[in-house]
Amino acid sequence: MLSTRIKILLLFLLCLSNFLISTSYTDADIFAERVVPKNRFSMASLDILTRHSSNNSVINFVFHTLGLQPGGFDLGAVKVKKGGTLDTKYHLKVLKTEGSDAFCNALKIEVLQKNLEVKYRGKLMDLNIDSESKAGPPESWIFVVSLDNTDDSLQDRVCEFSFIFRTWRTEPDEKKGIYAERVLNNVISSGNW
Amino acid sequence: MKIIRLFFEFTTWLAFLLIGVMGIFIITSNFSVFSGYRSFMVQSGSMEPAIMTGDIIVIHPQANYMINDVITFIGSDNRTITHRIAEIREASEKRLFSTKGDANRSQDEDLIKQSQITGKVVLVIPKLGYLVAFSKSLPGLIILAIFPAVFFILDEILKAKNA
Repeated sequence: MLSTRIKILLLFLLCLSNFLISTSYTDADIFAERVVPKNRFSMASLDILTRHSSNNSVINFVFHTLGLQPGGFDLGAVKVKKGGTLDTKYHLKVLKTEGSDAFCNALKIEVLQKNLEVKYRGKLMDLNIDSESKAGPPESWIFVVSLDNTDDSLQDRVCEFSFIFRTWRTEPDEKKGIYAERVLNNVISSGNW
Repeated sequence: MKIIRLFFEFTTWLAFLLIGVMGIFIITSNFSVFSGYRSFMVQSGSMEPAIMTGDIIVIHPQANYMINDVITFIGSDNRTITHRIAEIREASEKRLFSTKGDANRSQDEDLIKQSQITGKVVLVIPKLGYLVAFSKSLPGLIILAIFPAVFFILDEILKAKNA
């Protein structure tokens, strides 16, 4: 025989069971969130321009020299200026495109800036200069190409080469990413002596 | 006379039992005289410390909901969610509610309509929710429902026999 107290307990258990069984589930979604305000995107451009030193017109050729002889030289000049919104570094190299290897290798070049500071003096084919293009007046480059080799085998030869101005961002020889490049073509032929 | 007295006692207890069960059922079902009371077990912690994981909440529908009311609603992905009303926006004769968990840093992304709200939290029973899963399992059903009912009935039968 169950006491009244036990009966009440049993009754309570029955009620509790009914209550629990009829209980549904709810979520109280918890999540973490971080807000990064005031984002701003802007477009930038990167370019360098090569211009004629006398009138800022577009330039495609620097040297077109015929009949160069030992002891002779020729002068050329170009202005390089920033074309995009970004300041950039660039390097100047020479690439032979056509002609006699011997004659090209015999050519010497001297590169000066407008204040006549010498930036490079040596073999034409080894030319390699790093510089920077930024806001302000353009950089002026003066090139003096000369031949001091008197070897007869260099007579009536042609050397076609390009000055290549190419921008870089992290390292001069990088192959990836955006860049700007300007190519100026040149033809030099030797005479007879 | 003794048989009549026993019969009375048996039926009295039976009625007491039935009334008790029905009373709880009435309170927790949607078809009661206190229409709309429903209970939910809270499964996660965004309303802490007001409502902890494992608590049972009892909700009741309201004609109007106010800022700071803790409400249970059906979310856009059809889940039942319990959060606090953080902001009420009036938009073309409709009221839209922006909700937020007390433990969350920001408000919920979706605005909810009044029709999505199941009710306002009117009672929080701490930690009882951990028994919900147990009560819905076979051992829980046996311990919490079948055993008490069987003991009750057997007791009354024995009492009737001994009388």
